Amino acid sequence: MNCVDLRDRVVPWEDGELGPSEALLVERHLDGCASCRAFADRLASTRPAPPPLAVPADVLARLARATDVDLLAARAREPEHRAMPRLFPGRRLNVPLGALLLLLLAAGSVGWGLSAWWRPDRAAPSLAGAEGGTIPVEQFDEAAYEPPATPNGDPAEP
Amino acid sequence: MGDGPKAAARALLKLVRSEDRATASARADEDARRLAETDPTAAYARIIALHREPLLRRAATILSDWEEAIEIVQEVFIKAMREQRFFDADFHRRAWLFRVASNLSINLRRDRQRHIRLQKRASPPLTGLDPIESLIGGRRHEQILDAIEILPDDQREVMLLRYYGDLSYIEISDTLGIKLGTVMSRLSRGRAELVEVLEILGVEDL
Repeated sequence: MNCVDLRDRVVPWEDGELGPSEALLVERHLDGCASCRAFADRLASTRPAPPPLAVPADVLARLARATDVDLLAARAREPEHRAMPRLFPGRRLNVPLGALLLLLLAAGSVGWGLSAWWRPDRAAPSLAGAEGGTIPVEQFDEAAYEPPATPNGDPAEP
Repeated sequence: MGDGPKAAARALLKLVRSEDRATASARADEDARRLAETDPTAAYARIIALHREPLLRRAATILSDWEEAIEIVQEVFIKAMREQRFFDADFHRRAWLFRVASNLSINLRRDRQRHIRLQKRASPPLTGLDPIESLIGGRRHEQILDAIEILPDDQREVMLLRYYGDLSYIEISDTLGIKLGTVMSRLSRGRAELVEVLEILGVEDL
């Protein structure tokens, strides 16, 4: 048995699920191979081993009451809680109908807001030259620019 | 039962094998299955009595909380009552119950952790719940569960069934409908990934 084969078998071996002849092969390899032994040790130290649990008596009593067959049968007969109907059921695209409607409503509101704000006659924001015209940013000469002489520095009204 | 030596041999073999497997719980399960033909409610009552404590332990092991574990056990049996195949002869009831319990538990644990992280709270359970004080080696075990939570789905499921459901490889293979070799390889990869994840998480005593 080589190391590759061993790595495939060491977990079933540890779990006691290998037949006796294969288990023997694993053990022989581990005896002679330090690196596989180290690998097996690391696996053993991370083996999920749920700690033992003692169930308290009061918990058992609550469990018995909670799992009364008639109680559970009544709940089983209730119609299953239906989540929002899904528009595209499936793992990849699972969009609740409500979420989609909300999105459309939001998009509609934004669209309405934009159309209310935008007016054809309203000048786009720009760097205003002295005559109120616009200067493309790349032509703006910061050194030569003199801000309008208003007390609070606000741009002059066009 | 057929006639002739072959049929007799088969019957004997079946008896021997069934005796091997026939722990009290397997016999009780078979009784419940037969009872279901005439009295399904009584049959479910038997199944509940048979499995509720082991299921509670398994859920509690994952959740560290008795109250949540009780709720999980309730959900498991409700699902069993809704499962049409539950009392079919070839249905692996015990394995199925553990599978549902472990999936529900790990999902609840993950959602609860996410909720706690969103709330920016420290990690103990939410108030009003019923934490398990006596969990020996609790912190180490919590770290392993954290790591298992982030494994790929196929590895996580077999890991839970083997180490938290005590199912044999064959039972896992039957319950998930996958080949035995696939069970072995998923467990091997899952265990190897667990080592790496724990190293990344900086777990001591590795």
